[in-house]
Formats: sequence, C-alpha cells, structure tokens
Amino acid sequence: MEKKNKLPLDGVRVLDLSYVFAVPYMAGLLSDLGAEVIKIEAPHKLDQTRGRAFGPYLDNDPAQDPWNRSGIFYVVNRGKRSLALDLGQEKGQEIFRDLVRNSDIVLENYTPRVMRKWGLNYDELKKIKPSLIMLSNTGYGSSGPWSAFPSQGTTLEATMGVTFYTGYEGDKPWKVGQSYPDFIACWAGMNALWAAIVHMRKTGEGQWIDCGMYQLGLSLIPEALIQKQLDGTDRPRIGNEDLEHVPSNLYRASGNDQWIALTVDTDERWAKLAALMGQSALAQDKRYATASARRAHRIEINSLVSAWTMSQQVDELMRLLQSQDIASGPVLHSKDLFINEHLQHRGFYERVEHPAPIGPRPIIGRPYRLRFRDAHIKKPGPRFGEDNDAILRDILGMTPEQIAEVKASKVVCDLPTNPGLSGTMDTEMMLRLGTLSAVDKDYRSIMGVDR
Amino acid sequence: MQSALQGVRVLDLSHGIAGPFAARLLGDYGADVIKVERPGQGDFARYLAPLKTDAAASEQSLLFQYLNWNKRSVALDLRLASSRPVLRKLIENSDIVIESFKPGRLESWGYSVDQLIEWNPTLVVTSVTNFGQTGPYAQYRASDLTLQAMSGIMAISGQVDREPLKHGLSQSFYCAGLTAAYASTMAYSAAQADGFGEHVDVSIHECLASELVLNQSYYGFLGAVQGRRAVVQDPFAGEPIAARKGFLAFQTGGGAPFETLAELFGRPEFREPKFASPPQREKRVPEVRALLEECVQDRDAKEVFLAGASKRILIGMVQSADDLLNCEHLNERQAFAEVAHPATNTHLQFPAELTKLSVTPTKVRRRSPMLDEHRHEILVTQLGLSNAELANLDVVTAVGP
Repeated sequence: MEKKNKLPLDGVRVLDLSYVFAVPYMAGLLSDLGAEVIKIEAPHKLDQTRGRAFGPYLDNDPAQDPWNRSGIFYVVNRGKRSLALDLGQEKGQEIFRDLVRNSDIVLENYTPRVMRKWGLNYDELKKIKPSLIMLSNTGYGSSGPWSAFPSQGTTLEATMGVTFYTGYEGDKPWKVGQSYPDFIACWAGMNALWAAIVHMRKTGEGQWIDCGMYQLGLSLIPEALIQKQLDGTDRPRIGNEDLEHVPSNLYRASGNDQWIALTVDTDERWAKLAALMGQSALAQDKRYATASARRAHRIEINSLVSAWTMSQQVDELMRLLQSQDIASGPVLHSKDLFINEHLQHRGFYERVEHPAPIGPRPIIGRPYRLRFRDAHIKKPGPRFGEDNDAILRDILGMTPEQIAEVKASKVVCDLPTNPGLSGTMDTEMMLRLGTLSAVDKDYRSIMGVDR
Repeated sequence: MQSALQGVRVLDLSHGIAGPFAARLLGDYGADVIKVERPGQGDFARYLAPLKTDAAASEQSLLFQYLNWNKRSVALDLRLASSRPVLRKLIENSDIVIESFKPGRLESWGYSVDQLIEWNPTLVVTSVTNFGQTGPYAQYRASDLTLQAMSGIMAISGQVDREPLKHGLSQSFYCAGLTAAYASTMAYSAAQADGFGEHVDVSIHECLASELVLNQSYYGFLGAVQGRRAVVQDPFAGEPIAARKGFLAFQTGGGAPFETLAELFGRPEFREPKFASPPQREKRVPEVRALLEECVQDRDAKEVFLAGASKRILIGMVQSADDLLNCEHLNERQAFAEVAHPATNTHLQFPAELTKLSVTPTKVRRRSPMLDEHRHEILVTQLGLSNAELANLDVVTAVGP
C-alpha cells in the first residue's frame, strides 16, 4: 500500500532543551513522526551523550571535535537540528521566547528550579503561546519533598523498585540493562505528549506535563506491590526463572558464552520438550508431568535440559523448540542484533547517511511499523551548533549583523565553551575484564555499511 | 476536569499484559474502553497471580484488576459467525482497536485489518505481538525471559563469570504496553487529521531492543561488543552497595562535584586526585569500591540517600514494595490510588498516575469489569441490538466453549 498520508507531526516544531537519554530520545522519535526538532544546547554544558561519559567516540578517537564523534548522540538525536544557545544570558532567553512563539512543543529535563530561574517555566511561556505543550522530565517530579534531588536512570532503577526484584537467586539486588528508567520515561512521556496533542488539536489549549521518573517504576512492578498488600510477602529474586513455569531458564549451549532461553508453560509443551530431548518417558514421570510437580523439581529439570542443550548450537535449538511451539531464543549480543535476519526483514535499523568522517550507519528506528504513513529517520543527528545560522535567519528573521552580534557576545556559539574531558576507552582493559567480549576491526563490513 | 481522550472509543480485543495495559492507559486519559473477552474463560490475565483465591475463578486476579480498570467488559466469541454483526457494530463505533492475537489469526476469522478499515475508514488498529506481524519470527512463541534474551539486554547484564541476567518480574510486557498506547494515540491523532486509518504493528521484542541505544553505539561506532559486568564493578556505575540496612546505588556526574562525597562521609580521601579524577579512578576500581563500602557499612541506606541527595549527589537506594507503599514522596505526589473491587472484596493501593497533566489529568474512573459485566449496557443500550439478535447471540454463547 502506498504511504501517501501525512505524518502525524507534519508542520509541528519542537524545542528540545534536554540532555542524556529519556527526553532526547522522545524528541528523536517525534522527528521520525514528522516534527521539526530543534535541539537547544548550552554552550558551556555539553549533553553528556556528546562527551566522554557515554561515547564511544568514532573508532575510539576523540580527534579535534570529540563532541561531534560520539556514537550514542547520533542514535538518540537523529533527525534534529542544533542551536547552541546560552539561556543564562538575557539575550539568550529573548531568543528562546521568540522561538517559542514559533513552536508548538517544548521539552526539557532541568531540575525544577532552573527553568524558573530563567523565567522560562510553563506559566511564563504560555503567556506568549497559549497552545504550547511543555513537558518537564525530572527524577522526582516538580512537587514533593524529594523534588530537588538529582538523579539519573541508574540510581532511579534502584529507588523505583525494579532492582529489588531483580538478581540471581539468593543474591543481592542487581541492576540490569542500561538506564532502564530513561526508556520508561521516554514512552510514558510520549503517552502524555500525545494525549496533550489530541487535546490541543481539539480545543486549542496547551498544557504542562510534569513527568517524575521515580513514580513510573511503580507501574512496572504491580505484581510485587499487590503481593505485599495481599499477604505481606515479597516476590523473591529468582534469577531468570519463573515462579510458575518450569523449566523457564537460560541454558548453556555449544560455543563460547552461548545461551538459549526457553519457557515451557503447559504440560503438553513439557511432553514436546521431553520428546525433543529423546526422553519421552519424562512426560509421564510423576516428578515432572504436572506444573506443580515440575515446580518441586526445578534443579533436576534444569540439569536434564542443560545436558541436552550443551552440545547444540543456539540457532538450531531455537528452530527445534519453536517447531514444537515452545517459547525460546538465544541471548543475542549487540553484534547479533545488527545482523539478525528478523530485524533486518522488518527494517528495525534504518540506514542513515552521516557526513564524513562517520558515513552510513544502521540506527535503531521505532519498535512499530505504520502501514499507511512513512515514519522514518529524516536525517543524521546534528553536529554541535550546526544549524545556528539557519535557525536564527529563517525562523527569527535575524540579519547577518544581528547573528554576528549574538555570536560575539557568546549567546550563540559555534563551538562548546567548556567541552570537558575527552579520552579513549581502554578497550584492552575492558577485554581483559570481560566487560567487552570482542572488538571487531571490520565492524563496518559486518554491518554492511562499508559501501 | 477535562480528559484528553474524552469521546475517543477504544475496543480492546487483547489479552495478557501488554495489550490490555495499553488499552487501560488510553482509558486513564479518558477514552471509553470496551473489552471484548472470550465467553466462559475471559482474558487469560484473569488467572495471573497475585490471586485472591476466595473469589470466583475468573475474578481472582488482582493483576487483572490493575490492567483493566476504566474498561467495560462484554463476552463475545470471535470465532463464531453469529458474532460477526455485533463485532462489526463495535468496530463501526470505535476509533482504536487494540489486539494481540498471533499474526494472521484475526484474519483467519474474517477480520483482516483491510476488512476492519473498510468498515470504518478512520479506524486505527494496533497489533501488539511478540515479534510483529512480519518477518521470519512472526509466528514464534515467546515469554518475558525469551524476549529479554533476544533483545540484547541480557547479554550486558549480570556478572561476567555467571549467566546473563534478566530484569525481574514481567518487564517486557509493560514496556510494550507503554509503546503501544502512545503509538495508538499518535495514529488516532493522525487519522483524525487526514481521514485515513492506520495499522500500527508493535513488536514487543523491538520495544526492548530500542533500549540499547548505548550498547548498539559501542558496536556501530567502534566494533566493540559489550559484555556483562566485571566481577569487581566500578561502584559509581549503579551496582547496589550494601549498607547496614539496605543497599545504595551511586553514579558519578550530576549537580555536585565528586569531592562532595568527602563532605558526606567525612572522608578527605575523596578529594585526592587519584579518586576525584575519573580517568585515574577507573584505574583503581577495587580500592575506590572498598572505600565506599567502608563509608556506608555502618549507616542505613535511607539516611545516606537523604543526606547525599540533599547535597545533590547522584545516589539511589534499593526500595521494596513496602518502602514504596510507605514513601513520603510518593504519598505527597498521590502516585497511588485506592481501587476497591467487590469480586475480591479488596481495596488495594495501585500505582495509578504516571505523569501529571496540568489541564487533563489521568484518572481511575471505574474498577476493572467482571467478565461480561456490561453485556446488556453495551449490546442493547449502546449498540441497540434487538431482543431477537441478543437471544440468538446468547444461545450460541451459552453452548460455546
């Protein structure tokens, strides 16, 4: 079917004042959905995703302009334009207000006091643009005793409750993944934004969205919150296993650090697994035949299954198990994902042409396809201050002289004024510790972007 | 108070966690949500723990209550031809349909997306499935575990000399629910603007893989495959550190300079360049870790958290359900709502508000429905089915599965 229809945010302009993952990612997705997104960056405070803290720098080389070489920046900030504007200066605030007059949505994640200090909080901004939608994302929200506390995804994951219910059996709580709360905030924020957009399109009325990441965690652990109130108990940490279904676990497969995940959720599927393992008798064995019997024999079942998986390839195991309608799949690494046949078939990664020295790269798109509208990554993420002149000229109608003036007074900057530390990642040490499992010199050709 | 999605009609044909959570979120924003369930049994989430076992079988699940408030329920067997006119009426009276059947199943019953959009040209159909509607894995079965494994998240989680580790509970499905909800509202807004419906094909697997923005850049810009966590981890990378009571999580950066730790713990060592400078600190991880552990071992996590966060240090503490239910900050923010339910005779505190919208706040307007509770109200009062039509449907349903 022809994708002839308009993108949902055609003609919408978004000002993105945010840093790191949650809100920048939100703004990147809005760009995929048709919005013009202007990332407003502080000249004296780089987005950490442009810096050493996250990186990695292209081929581990910070070169002369490290802030334009950080990989994660280009994933999260795709499709945006960049304006490096000092909101701490009065002239910067004036330029920002002029932009607000010409925009529809403002996104920011400063701690609550910052926008107030600049006089750019929602109550002020809506005076100049009544239909403005503004989203403020903070660790703890704009109200309550903890609202001024600083936070990032990693610390919040613990505080919001997810960590307590995560970890190896009998071990302490564990952090898992990378900045999980940021993505929850990104998606929860998108929900609020779209609700506000629907309301605005219907009534012309804008509003302010106060997103506090801490409380989002509650929505992800209802089982634990309910259980506690029901009988006073805590859901146990049980590693990768399932309270009800046995087997449901990771099993070692053939090869170095290869693991297959599988879940058997009915007695019928247990019989099918037993047959696959060449031990059909296990299906009738009283110790294993029913769900409750299997729960009482976790250890034995885990050793039976891993004895079977140990000598086989993960891909083959997945095909075998899926052919019997058993949920299964391997632990995939970052490299596996880039070359995964299913994700390639669905076009999950989009090829984005970055200017030299980066060149083409596969960039994570969106986790859904629209059948009748062509959502896509519009352009690569911007270099620092890349669109300074064009934005001031085209949106605000400033003359070359006026532009030169705001640059001379460092209200608008073409280079960061305080870029901070750069450096290389110690890949040798990380390989030794195992926190990296490989460094592929030929990664471009593996990903198919060497041409 | 106004609601953002007031007047928006949602038909929830989905089951389990992801789809129903998405439909509920739309209900929280004010949409009118009708849940269509399989007669007799209903949504399989009606049997998901935690259960209140003294209630009727299909009404025991307290998790179901969380996933399905702001909805009304009608039982209808989509496999039967006699249901077709009723479903058609429901489709014609909906703006958004959310479904989570295995790809191809709705079509096999005569309800392809093309058919639905023919009946209602501005309809948005959102499909929430494990791997999406297309591709070699489209028919694959999955669990929260296998989805987390295949998303790339587990490969970087857990300790390097132990097996990869998943997030606890059922995270995949909540992640997908959040995405499916906003994608539905987005497509609805687009359809209202240009008059064309949409099919939103959500892949739960891709929702999780979408979290790997950093890890994917390691490979995409450097060729580095990230592994699991070191045996001795940098104590400022979020690993829980044991206090006398509870665990703390630290991270560098944020509002306060690193030296603030010296002040917090009364330990001047944190001012020394070998600790304060990140490149130097990274070279002596075990030493830094031992120092930090020593600083917190005789203190309670919450006390250190409050003191540290007040000094603008990036700090977290591991909290359990009990801590959260009694948290002064969450109470002040009114993050929980009490939702009573007659079927289980409970009135539990549920996490009810995600974000605060200044003009159109979200709201729990009604408890979750009992199976088929709103049959008459939906079929007769709302759709105007005649007594004969209803009788015909009831007879078939009564002898159904």
